[in-house]
Amino acid sequence: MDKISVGIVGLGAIAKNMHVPVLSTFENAELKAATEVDVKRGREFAKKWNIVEVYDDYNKMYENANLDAVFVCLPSFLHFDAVKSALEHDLHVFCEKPMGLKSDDAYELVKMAKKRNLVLAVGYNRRLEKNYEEAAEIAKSLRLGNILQAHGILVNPGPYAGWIPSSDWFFKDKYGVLYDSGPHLISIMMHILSDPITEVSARGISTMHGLNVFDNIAGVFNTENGVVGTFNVGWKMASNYDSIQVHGTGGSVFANPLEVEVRHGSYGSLERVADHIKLAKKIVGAQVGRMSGDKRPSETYFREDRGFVDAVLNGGEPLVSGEEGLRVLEVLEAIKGSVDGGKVVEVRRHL
Amino acid sequence: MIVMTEKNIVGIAKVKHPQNKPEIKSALYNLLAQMKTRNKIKITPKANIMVKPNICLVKGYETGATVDPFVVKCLVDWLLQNYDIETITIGEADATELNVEVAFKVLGWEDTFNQYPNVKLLNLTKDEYIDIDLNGLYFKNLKMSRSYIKSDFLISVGKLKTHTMTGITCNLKNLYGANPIKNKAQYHPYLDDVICDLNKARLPDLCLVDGIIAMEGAGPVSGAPNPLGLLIIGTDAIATDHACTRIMGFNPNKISHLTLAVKQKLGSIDYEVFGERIEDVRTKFEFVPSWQKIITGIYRNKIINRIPLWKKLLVRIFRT
Repeated sequence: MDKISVGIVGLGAIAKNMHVPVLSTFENAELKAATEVDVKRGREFAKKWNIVEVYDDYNKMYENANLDAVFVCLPSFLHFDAVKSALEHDLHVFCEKPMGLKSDDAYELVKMAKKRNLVLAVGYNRRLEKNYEEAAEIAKSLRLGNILQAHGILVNPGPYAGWIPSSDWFFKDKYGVLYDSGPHLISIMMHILSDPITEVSARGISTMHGLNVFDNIAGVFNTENGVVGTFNVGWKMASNYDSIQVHGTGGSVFANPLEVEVRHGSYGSLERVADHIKLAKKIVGAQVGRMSGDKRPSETYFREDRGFVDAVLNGGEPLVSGEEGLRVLEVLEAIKGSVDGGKVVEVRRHL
Repeated sequence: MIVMTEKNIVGIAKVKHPQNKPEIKSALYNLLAQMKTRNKIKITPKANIMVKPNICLVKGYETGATVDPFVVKCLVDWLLQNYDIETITIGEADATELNVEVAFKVLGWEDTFNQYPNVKLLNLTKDEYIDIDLNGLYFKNLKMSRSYIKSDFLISVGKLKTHTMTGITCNLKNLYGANPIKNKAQYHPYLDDVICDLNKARLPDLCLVDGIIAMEGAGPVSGAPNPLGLLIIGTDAIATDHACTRIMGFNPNKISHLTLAVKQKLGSIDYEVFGERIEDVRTKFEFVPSWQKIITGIYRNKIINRIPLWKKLLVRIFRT
């Protein structure tokens, strides 16, 4: 096989703006079919991208479209059923994050994919950001000495303020931001640390009047190797911001999508002057970058989709595997338990 | 008449996995065995051995700043297995930013050696002193730890790392740390002279360099850890440091304390290498940032150093 046939499940924002434009550039992937409950809207979009078949039910597409793989781009609470059915139809699956809402469900999917020798990938594109990959390399290289602390934050304006979702599904789950921004942040942090989170203690607030939904959650965690750290996810912020700090006895790494910086040793007045010079250069550089007005999907979507297609064609591992998706859900579940119970909760692991 | 002198040797071992303790032990044992076979370790029966590791401040070996106590443990174990030894003393002196007792505790030296009946940890600053007529480049005479000077066999265990002021540390600079005076920062404008004097006070009998986790950049305390996985051994501090300088990718002729030590005949740069070849393990260490070198140049300038305010300001910046 030198080319795969791909179907898209759900033509919401993530499919329309990211995966479809990205996949359409691949020579070894044919966008053959799509599923969209609003068939009229789906057909209009499909025509634009030369997707021949449009279904109103993914099971019909799985049975009739003669596909090799599917991209599940539905709201999170629909992921499990759509992925499970695809695997039952012997289709390789790329599932947008998170891989469902329950870790037991995710474990079932991982087992199914393994048993049927199918590729199961999860869309944690943000952990593929070049700077986070670099931070992970630095953390693994022993150049930070013994890692003792890690801190991560991912905040944004949230649905309807930062982006327009296709429906109100973001607010259907009580844990709101946790299953929206949380999966990305936990995935990035576990990737950088290469160290499983073992227990968490978290608190949340809900400031969305009339909706019983957590819009801000913060917490503390411990890892298997004894790192202590914090995580913060939030909606309703004026700006988008995400960053990670990892501190070790031999150095610290500070990473965000715009920059990655490593510091070793003392940080005196001369270093601060040097930093101000570097910052001035970055500000000028960023302004020049903004003037280019590039609206293409981020490079991370190209990388994750390419990784998935290559894994299907060549039989390797995708960049973010189902197992990794499962580990993130296990942590999210512990955070959920801690937010509800106000206690330290141990992460329940399946593998 | 031609006098045939024994040629120096320097041994180099590389471990693939810098965190793998059995691998480190095996590599060090192999180096030591080869030194013994070549008759380079001459320990008399019932010897009192002094080991001087580089513990310049309370930072773990994994930072690249200090020697790994595990490396010294392997050295001690091997010595006890191979020689009739009375005592082994592991000695380090207080320094401007170092309290040795705290370092022994926090960095795991006490835990590592508290089960050894004939191994003791010693703060050289608190030992009985002995007066030495040195007639050196900086010191005319010097008070030193008696246990250190009178030891039957002195082993320097240096760290493979860069140094903002001297370029490199390793062995010659490690023995500078044996000076029991706490405020060693006062000697910074005269480092080359003082390093040579401290080596002249007591030449080491064996030199080992811990380059398992080395340090590059703004060493000796603020640089970046570099997990190089190297151990370097030799009988001569100059030869060993010369080899280390080449391994770090620097020109030994530009390391001023090394060239001064050669002129002072504290050792020789004529040596043979066994184990790994320098060409095979040579790397390119990041050196001290140029702006720091300029400041360091000013700092080391003897005329400028006479201006008290300059000194205070620069000591605040370079608290090493």
